[in-house]
Amino acid sequence: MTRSLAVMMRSSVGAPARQYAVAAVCVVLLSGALYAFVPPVPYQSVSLLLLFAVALLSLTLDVGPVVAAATLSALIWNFFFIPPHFTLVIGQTTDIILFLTYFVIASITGVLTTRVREREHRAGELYRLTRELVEAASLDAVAAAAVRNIDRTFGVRTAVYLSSIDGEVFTMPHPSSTLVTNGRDDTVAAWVYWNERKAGRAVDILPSVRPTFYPVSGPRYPLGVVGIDTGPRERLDAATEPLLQNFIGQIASALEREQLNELTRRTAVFAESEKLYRTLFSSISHELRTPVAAIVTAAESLTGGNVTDIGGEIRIAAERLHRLVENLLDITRLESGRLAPALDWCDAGDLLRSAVLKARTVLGDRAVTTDVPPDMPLVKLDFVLMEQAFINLLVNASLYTPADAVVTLAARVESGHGVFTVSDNGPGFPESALKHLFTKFYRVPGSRAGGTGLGLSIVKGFVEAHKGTVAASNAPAGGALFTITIPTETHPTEE
Amino acid sequence: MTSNAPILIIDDEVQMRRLLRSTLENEGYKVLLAENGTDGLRQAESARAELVILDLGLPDIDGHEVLRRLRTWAAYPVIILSARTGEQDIVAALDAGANDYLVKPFRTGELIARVRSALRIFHAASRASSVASFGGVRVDLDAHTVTKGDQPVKLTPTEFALLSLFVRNEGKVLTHAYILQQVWGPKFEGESQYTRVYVGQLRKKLEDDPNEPKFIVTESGIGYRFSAGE
Repeated sequence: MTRSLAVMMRSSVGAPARQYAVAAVCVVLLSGALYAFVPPVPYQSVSLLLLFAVALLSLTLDVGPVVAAATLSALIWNFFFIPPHFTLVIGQTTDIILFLTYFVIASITGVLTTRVREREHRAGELYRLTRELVEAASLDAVAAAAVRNIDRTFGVRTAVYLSSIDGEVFTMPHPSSTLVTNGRDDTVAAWVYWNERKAGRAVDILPSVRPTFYPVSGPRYPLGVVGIDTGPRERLDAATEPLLQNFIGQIASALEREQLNELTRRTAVFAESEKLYRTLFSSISHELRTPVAAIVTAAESLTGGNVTDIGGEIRIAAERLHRLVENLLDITRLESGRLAPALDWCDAGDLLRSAVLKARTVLGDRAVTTDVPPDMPLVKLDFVLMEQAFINLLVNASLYTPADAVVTLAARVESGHGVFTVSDNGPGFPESALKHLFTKFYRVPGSRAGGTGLGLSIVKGFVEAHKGTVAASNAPAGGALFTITIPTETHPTEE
Repeated sequence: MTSNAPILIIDDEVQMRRLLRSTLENEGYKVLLAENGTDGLRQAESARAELVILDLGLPDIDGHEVLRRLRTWAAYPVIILSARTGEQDIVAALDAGANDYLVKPFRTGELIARVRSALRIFHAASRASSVASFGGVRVDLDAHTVTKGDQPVKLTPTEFALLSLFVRNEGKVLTHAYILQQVWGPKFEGESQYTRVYVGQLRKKLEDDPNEPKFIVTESGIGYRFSAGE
């Protein structure tokens, strides 16, 4: 009957051929021994003893040999015991009934007993797998237990493929696999992973590869693939296949459990490093800012007396240092990848005016105009981040334009985007500089001292945090033109 | 304006404490210094301070916690000191009962103006007048009338409610959440577009130049401050 179950029992009883031999020898020996006692023992009783022997055999042998024993013993009983002796002819009608009954009972007993044993054996295998999977405390241990149990139970070579927790798909089997695969096998395994369907030798899909691959599916997403090589057999037979499916189900839940554990561990580590980052960042920010704040405030109170010039110089230098420190902190926040804009409704006019107000001391005497249409709807932005972006653009304008330049800020909404421009009537940019302007630490060649090349890369970072874009160009009428475009919801300002 | 009650400064940075003290003493205020939250709370309880300047980043007790404990018994003004990127901290502190804030580095003039304004509001709280004037605008809170120059200004009930909230809290910074809660009620929490839209409308009706608002001033990332002018 089942080849693979024969394999299961190989260790205790032996190969199929040996089983048939054992069955035949037992039946022949018992029959021979009984032959000596007939008569006085009536030949009908012999059938009971032979039946007993077949029942005993069915406790250890496979179905095939048991049926063979039943058949052989029926024939022997007929040939040697039922009169007329030494023929297969049966004289009496009662003997015919007896013979047929004997044959049927022997076969049924044999088959049923073997089936019960088989079922118990499967339950035992499944139990062992479950226990080993429960004991496995990592993804690697689950993979190893899966390979070990499938190999042992089904007599195959097994490869296990696992997708990583980050959703990266495998390229090769797990190292504990006993099946050696080639690149084609691995490609088929990946196909099985994505399509969550069996493929390989035993099925119609991609039968050209030697192993058969089974998807290991979790409740939400695929977890991996199990590949088995059945060796000389073409496939597992129909009775064993459900057991393998059962195995794969158990393996899937163990894998999912370990993935969740792993995720929990990672989250804990991440939270810890996040906390460390925040603590470090806030302590460094504090250490850098505090002395600068003290200098700025102190210098400001110096400018009242007759040391105006010196106090003023200190104040200007301190404010420059302050901007540098804030720029460095901003770029650090940006590069940490932890900057999430807090989007809220903004009045664009408010936003631009607020930036101008805060950049006023740097802008000096430059005239600044803001141009916002009266019916400009509200836009959804992070007010503080975008204000800083505009301050940086204004500081930039004040660094690269003459003291009597005019700076214009404008805002409008165009097809679901807030479009903001900052332009001046200064000298503009050399064409060669345009594409480097937003690169960190880049400064236009020949520009005067007083900048670090961070301001514009911060603008770019803040705008990109809003999923927007910033571009620099020379305005048709001359002068620098920065255009910021940010996708945004809008809300009318008239109720 | 000077008074006998001292100003308590709670800041862990010795230089900041000294700067604040010399600036305020020059203006005639008496000053007490505390270098941490525990000491600050103890001094606040033993001495009858009339204003507290509180740094949010203290080494022992979090500034927000100091504020919370102060507010369980003290009604006098609290001005918060914070770094530039601390808007969320400022909003939380304002919503927890702080009266005003200063972002470091601040100008000494700014500090003095905030202290004066906070004390003036605190002492004036009892004599609430129903009529307020600013620029050419006159608001009668009882009669629900507003005039600009000699012309009556027509306001919707919501606009009037918003304007009277500003007028009653002159000089004080009001967070977006507080304004929403006071004018529109708790159900409108999160509907932040309303404050922007209605502030815009009030500016159009009341400001001389709505593009250069002088009375309803925007506080970046925090809210608005109503100022009746110099």
